[in-house]
Amino acid sequence: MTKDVFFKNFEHHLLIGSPKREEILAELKTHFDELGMDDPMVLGDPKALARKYNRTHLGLVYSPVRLFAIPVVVSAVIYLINFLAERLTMNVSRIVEGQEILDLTQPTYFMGTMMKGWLLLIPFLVVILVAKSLARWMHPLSWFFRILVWSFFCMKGVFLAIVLPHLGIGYAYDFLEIFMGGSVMALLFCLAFFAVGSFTIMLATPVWKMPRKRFQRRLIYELLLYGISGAFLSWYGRFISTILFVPYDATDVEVIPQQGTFMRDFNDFFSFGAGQNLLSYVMAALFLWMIVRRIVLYRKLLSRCDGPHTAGS
Amino acid sequence: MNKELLKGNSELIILSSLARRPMHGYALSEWIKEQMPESFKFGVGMIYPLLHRLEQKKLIKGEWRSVEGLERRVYSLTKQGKKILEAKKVEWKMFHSLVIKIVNQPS
Repeated sequence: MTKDVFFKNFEHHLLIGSPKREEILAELKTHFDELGMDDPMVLGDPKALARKYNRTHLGLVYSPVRLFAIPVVVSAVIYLINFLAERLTMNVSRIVEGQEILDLTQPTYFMGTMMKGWLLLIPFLVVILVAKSLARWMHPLSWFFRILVWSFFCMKGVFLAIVLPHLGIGYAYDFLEIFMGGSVMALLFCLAFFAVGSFTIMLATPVWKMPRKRFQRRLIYELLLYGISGAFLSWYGRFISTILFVPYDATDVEVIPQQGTFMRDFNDFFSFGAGQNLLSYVMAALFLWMIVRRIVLYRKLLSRCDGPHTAGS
Repeated sequence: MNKELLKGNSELIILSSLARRPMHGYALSEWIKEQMPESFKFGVGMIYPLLHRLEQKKLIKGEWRSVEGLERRVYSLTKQGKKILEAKKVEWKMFHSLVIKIVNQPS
């Protein structure tokens, strides 16, 4: 295999987009420039090498198969749980006009839930297909996917809400709403605006040397993607909490665990006062910590921006 | 030679090599080749992804520099990398002495 063939194959299998892509190719090129021969033993397998790079830089979604497999496996698990749920009925208590009553959950509700679950996956799959059709992922897009997949897994509440009734401990709508309810999301939005503002100020102030154009562009991409994915994540969360988990009879009832159970106490704790405040603070602290980490990272990167990344530019 | 043996210690080898002096990928592979017997193959397929992984972990940093008139991505240890290297060395020495002790037991 000649160097040209190696590079062609390597480029084909390398899924990482610019600017990292150019850097990887430039670095490998410098290596092969040193080698004076086209020895296949020296060059190795371009596909295997590209896969290693993909795994390092794209993480969980390093291959298209993995990217497809994740939502499919998650959906299959949800389907299985719902399939079992259809064959089981359970007691749940709910409040109608201030009075707690006992009711049976209808199997059709679970079918409806499942269908809504699939509908929620459609935009996710469409985005993947569009990206695949681009033949090669752009670096920011791959980051968008990572955030998307990560956020998907963060929806542990989805599983909680489906699994908890089977354990006889009621419905987890309230539990979910704490994470996705208006007050917390509003707070997160404020923090997101604060983050974007901070980054903008960092870029505009002359404390650091201005980075090169390509690096600036990369920062702007990241800021945009953080903003868009943040908005998408909150929309996605709200969508799930308000559509996927509306009570099955479509009236404004609240289904809660039965009184005297551990989950009821747990629910009460997080639904009112101290528990809810505690969670809000924890969420806010986590988000702040993420932002601070990001700012520290950008400070470091920007302070180093007096000359790197000359190759491939 | 067992491939896994090399794989399991590849990070230590790279970090130790870069602790001597900052090097670009090719120089690093050549230097390791000189130090190791032929049966230990430390090729391109292993070195570069490993360098990128270590860079992601912030144990090393890569910078484009001019080396002998050519642009090369030169890697050097970070503070964190130096710390981890020391810890890995201690771990390796302990493991090594333990294996020697067991292997040298009279049968």
